[in-house]
Amino acid sequence: MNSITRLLAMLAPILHRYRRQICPYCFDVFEFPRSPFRCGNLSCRGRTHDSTLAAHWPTLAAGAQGQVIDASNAKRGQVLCGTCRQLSRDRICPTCHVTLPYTFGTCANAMVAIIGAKNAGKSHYMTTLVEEFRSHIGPAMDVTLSPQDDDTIRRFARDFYDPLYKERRALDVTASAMRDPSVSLPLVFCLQFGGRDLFGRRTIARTVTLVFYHAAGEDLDAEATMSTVNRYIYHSDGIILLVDPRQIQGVRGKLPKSAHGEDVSKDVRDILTRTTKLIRSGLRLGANRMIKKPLAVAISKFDEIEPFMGKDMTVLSSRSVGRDYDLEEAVAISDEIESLLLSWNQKELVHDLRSWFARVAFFGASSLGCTKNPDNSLPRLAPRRVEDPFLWLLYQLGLIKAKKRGGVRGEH
Amino acid sequence: MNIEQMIYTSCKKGLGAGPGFQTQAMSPGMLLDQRTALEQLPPYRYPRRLPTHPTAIDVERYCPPNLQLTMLDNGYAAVTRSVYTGTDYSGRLGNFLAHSLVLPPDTDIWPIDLVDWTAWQDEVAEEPPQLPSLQTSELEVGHASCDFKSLSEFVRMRLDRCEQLAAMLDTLLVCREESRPLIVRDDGVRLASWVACLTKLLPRDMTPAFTFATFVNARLANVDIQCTTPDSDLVISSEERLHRAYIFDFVDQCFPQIDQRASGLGLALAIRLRDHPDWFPAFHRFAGKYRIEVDARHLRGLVDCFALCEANTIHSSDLSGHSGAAVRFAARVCDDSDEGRALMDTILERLAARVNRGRESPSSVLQSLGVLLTSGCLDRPIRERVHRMLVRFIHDDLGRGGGDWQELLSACDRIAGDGGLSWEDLEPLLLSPDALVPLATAPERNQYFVNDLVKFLTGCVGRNKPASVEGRLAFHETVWQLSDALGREAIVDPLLAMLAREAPGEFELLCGELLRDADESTNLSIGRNVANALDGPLAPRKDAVRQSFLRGGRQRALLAELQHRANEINNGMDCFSECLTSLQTLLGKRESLALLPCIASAWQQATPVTRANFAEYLFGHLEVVRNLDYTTAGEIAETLAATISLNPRDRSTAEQEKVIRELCATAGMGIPVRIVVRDFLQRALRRKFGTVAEVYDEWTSMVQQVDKDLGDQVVDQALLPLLALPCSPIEHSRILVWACDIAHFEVVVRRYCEVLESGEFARIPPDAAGAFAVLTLAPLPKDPELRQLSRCADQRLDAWLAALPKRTFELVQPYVKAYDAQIGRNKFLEWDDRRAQARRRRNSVFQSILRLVGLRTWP
Repeated sequence: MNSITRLLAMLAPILHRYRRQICPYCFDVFEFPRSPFRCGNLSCRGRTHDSTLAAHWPTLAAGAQGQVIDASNAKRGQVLCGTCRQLSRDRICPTCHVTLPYTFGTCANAMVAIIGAKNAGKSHYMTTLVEEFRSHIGPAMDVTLSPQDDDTIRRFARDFYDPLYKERRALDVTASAMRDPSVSLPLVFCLQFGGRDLFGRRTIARTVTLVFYHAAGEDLDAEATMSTVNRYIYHSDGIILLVDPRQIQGVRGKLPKSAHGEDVSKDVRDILTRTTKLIRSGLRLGANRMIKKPLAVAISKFDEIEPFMGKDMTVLSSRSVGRDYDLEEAVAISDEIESLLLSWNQKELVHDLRSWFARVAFFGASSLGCTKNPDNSLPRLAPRRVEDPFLWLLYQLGLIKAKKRGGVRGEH
Repeated sequence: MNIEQMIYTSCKKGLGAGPGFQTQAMSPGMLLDQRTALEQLPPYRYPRRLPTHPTAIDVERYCPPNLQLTMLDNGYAAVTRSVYTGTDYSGRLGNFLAHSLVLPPDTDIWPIDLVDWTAWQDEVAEEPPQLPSLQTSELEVGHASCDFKSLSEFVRMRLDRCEQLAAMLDTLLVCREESRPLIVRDDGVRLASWVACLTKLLPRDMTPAFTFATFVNARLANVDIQCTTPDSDLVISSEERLHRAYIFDFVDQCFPQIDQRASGLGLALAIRLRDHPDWFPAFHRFAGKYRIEVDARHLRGLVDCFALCEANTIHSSDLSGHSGAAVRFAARVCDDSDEGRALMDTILERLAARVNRGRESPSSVLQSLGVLLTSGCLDRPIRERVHRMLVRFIHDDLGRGGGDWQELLSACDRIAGDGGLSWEDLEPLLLSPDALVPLATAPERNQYFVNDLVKFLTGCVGRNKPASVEGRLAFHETVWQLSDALGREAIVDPLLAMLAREAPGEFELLCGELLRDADESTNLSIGRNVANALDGPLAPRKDAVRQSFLRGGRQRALLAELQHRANEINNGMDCFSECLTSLQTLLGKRESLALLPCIASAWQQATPVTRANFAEYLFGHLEVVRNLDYTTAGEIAETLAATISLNPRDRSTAEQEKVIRELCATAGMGIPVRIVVRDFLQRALRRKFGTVAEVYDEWTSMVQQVDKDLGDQVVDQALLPLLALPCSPIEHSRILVWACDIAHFEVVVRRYCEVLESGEFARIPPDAAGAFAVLTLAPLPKDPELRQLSRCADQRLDAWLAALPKRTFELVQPYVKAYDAQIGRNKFLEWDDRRAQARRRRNSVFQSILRLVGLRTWP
């Protein structure tokens, strides 16, 4: 059985290459072998303005772009530029002409959408999730998470990592994707799972192109905006819904008042309703069918509500770091959070989630592990349990295996 | 129309669905589309170098306000001032406030002037403010830091600013088509001035207008002029400089290499701003009347148009070499409006005045006038006026003889290239002999002028082709008259040579025209030109050209060519024969009769050597030769006969002999002696002669006298068969005497020796063998030639005896014995000894085998 799995993993690049792919930028479906190439030679005389790219992504289309080369003459994943006679391996989306990630078409893709109301902590969560995964979780599970392209490296460093980890201050407010189209650009990572080959040598057992989308909270406040700039939601393979505890009526009263006044963000149920509707219409699901996409509901800023919970709760314990995913622990945490929500009079929210989504789990996460100072600086940075929703999604997508223990609960 | 305003920021309460970035407030007249467009403007990004706890000074240094111009639909423009406001309502950093004004299409305000407007909102209000609609007067600023005087001072402040501004202006005109924005990196206080210089030097209502942003922290899309500070996060990599943007970095003093394709427009405007800032208000008023496009040439035309119209106030050197741009601009805008047509009229007046005063070269205006004529948008009166000006300019330039011919030709090209009214009207005048002939025959003209005239004519006719019958007639008449006036060699020959290169069609037409009623010398001249053309530029499609001549009924030109080649036959037989063959093919059998005079002429002029080749060629074209006159045909027959082989066994010459006989019969002349000799040889070789007497009689009757060379050939071939005939030593001797008579003796000796040594001579009849033996053994004759021949025979007698067939060997003995008295006793005994030795040799097996296979060995 193990050999068959390895064989399938070896065949995966070939199988994926001939599968219909979805562009992570414009979400157009295309046949990968027919996707054109772009000449990467900066001194090529065929460089010209790409009006197609400019129409879709004006910020990426400044100046002359490499010549678009038809894929009909491609051999072994590369094609010769007719102008400069240089080989090119950079595939572009046939619709929007954005250069595709280099692993695209050679491995599976996993698109993860992070949604939530305004101030739910989406940017902080994504930043700490990536950094925690790269620093702690990845090495423990023999998984490597690395940025795929220059744009991801630059944007992740400039907008997320540097302010939070280097300058130790809270991230800036995210601009609306309507105003800043670059917000809609995904962050593309490469997730590589380590393993052993038939002779016991270290090898890369599997590679997954991981695409993160996150949006400004105000872009989830209106259906029209969501359908325009948040189309990634129904194209994603898994969704992480962040819920700010201050947005829950039962909790807000227990917490100290914010220095900037009470948030008047919309109810999380409204966002959930709009998201569900967007997914249903995007995927053309019938009214009687449940959504199969796994949805991880995470209560963010969990450190703020820890004082009101029992100290023996699993969610407050240290995570069990191992090579395999601890499904039992995840189930326990999910049950605890679900109970918490019910105790905070969020019965309707839980009911809605269970009614619309076939696969739901609840988590608690703290991206910062502390409350930021009034001047937005951070006294310390201690993310807690941010990886739980993401690992559960990976497990649901079949990308990681669960730890074998007695009495594992099957379907969750 | 009202000016609407709007504020966009991150706030708790606004016009959006919830807290966050949204439109906080807007004036009541704001349209939904405009609001949506303004909401989609790029956000203000503050530089990362801004300290975490910034002071007001820090914010002022790192986060200068961004005044941005955006073009909306229907000609509306939005001027948005974005400022960094620090934290938002929730305490998170990164908030900004964008205050936008929507300007209606005809608002008389420079957007960059609004940088000094004092009513911009800088702080986020708790509650949405009430924003009223504004009037234009409310936007006026008392002291504008961007007026032309201030900008002039700004440019004068540093020496290199004028040059840099010129480069930026030129770049700005090309950056949009290359999708590379112009990025200015300088200290924050100077950015607005740079933008003002760039935008206020160009017409305000250009379509599409240039957009700008006075501060960006990252490169924006669809903004033409982007300014940034040294403290911004904008990464200026080498790739960015080379491929993505034109970056004028005044901080690091790094500037792009600009292609100065804008015809010096940038420099002209920058210098005017530096030196004459008061020039611009009038210029912009002037430009406001027309629709201006973003094109360097178009703008150059606008500037020059303005300079031409305002010639009283503008220095005349401003127009130097650029009046063409002004004319082109006028042509472009004259159909837009009444102002455009009025401008056209003014430009024509001013140009004519300048030309009259000698301030403008007609040729420099010429090309532009051609554009006017072909623009198709002129009224009839203006068109005729332009037309007259154009023709006058051309003739003036021709008259001066120092005009720019290339420019003239290209002007004519452009006029005729677009067809229509202009060229048809123009060509009879341009090519009129009344204008050109007096110019060409003026006393001060030299050959260079005539050469230029030929070039001009070729250019006119060759490139554009006369579009009308009148034009062609005028051209032909001009050529005739010029030819009469200047001589054919001066005009016709170079003209035809150039036409052959550049306009084969016109070359044919002109040849046909010139050959009409042409005298002999003209005929030859045209023939020479046709031949030169067909050997030169038209060589690759020689046959096609000849066919074209025939189709056009210009057969005379081809005959003239053949005649020319006939005259030159001694210099190139191949050219003549190629031409003749081609014409025979093209003309057909009946029409080929027209070629006969040329062929006869060629034959008469050919040297003997050429005639030999010519006769050989004609041998393959007998249908032509048969139609020639008798004399020529006879000469051809003789020439052919002189080259015919005497070897009667050569079957290939049989046809030639037949032709020669036919030609001789046709010409009524006798058979050439070579043919007679050939007959004699034929009979000799076929052994038709029975006796030596027959041979002698035949020779005497057929051939009166032959030269020794011919005799050599006869002896060479006939000696062996004739030596087989004699039945007595006297006959043998007679043959030898005949041979010595007709041929050189050395040849006879050589051939006689060869015959005696040959195997065939050993097989002659016994009587002939006996006669040879007796003659050899007999006493030497008195005739020294026969004596030498007898010695040769004596030396070869033994070998001959050894090679004889057995029967002949036996029969020779009685024959010799019958002549023993004449031989003498001693010689007879010697003969017996030699015969005995020969018998011994013959009896050896080796000799038998050699004899059997026909080989000889020498003792």
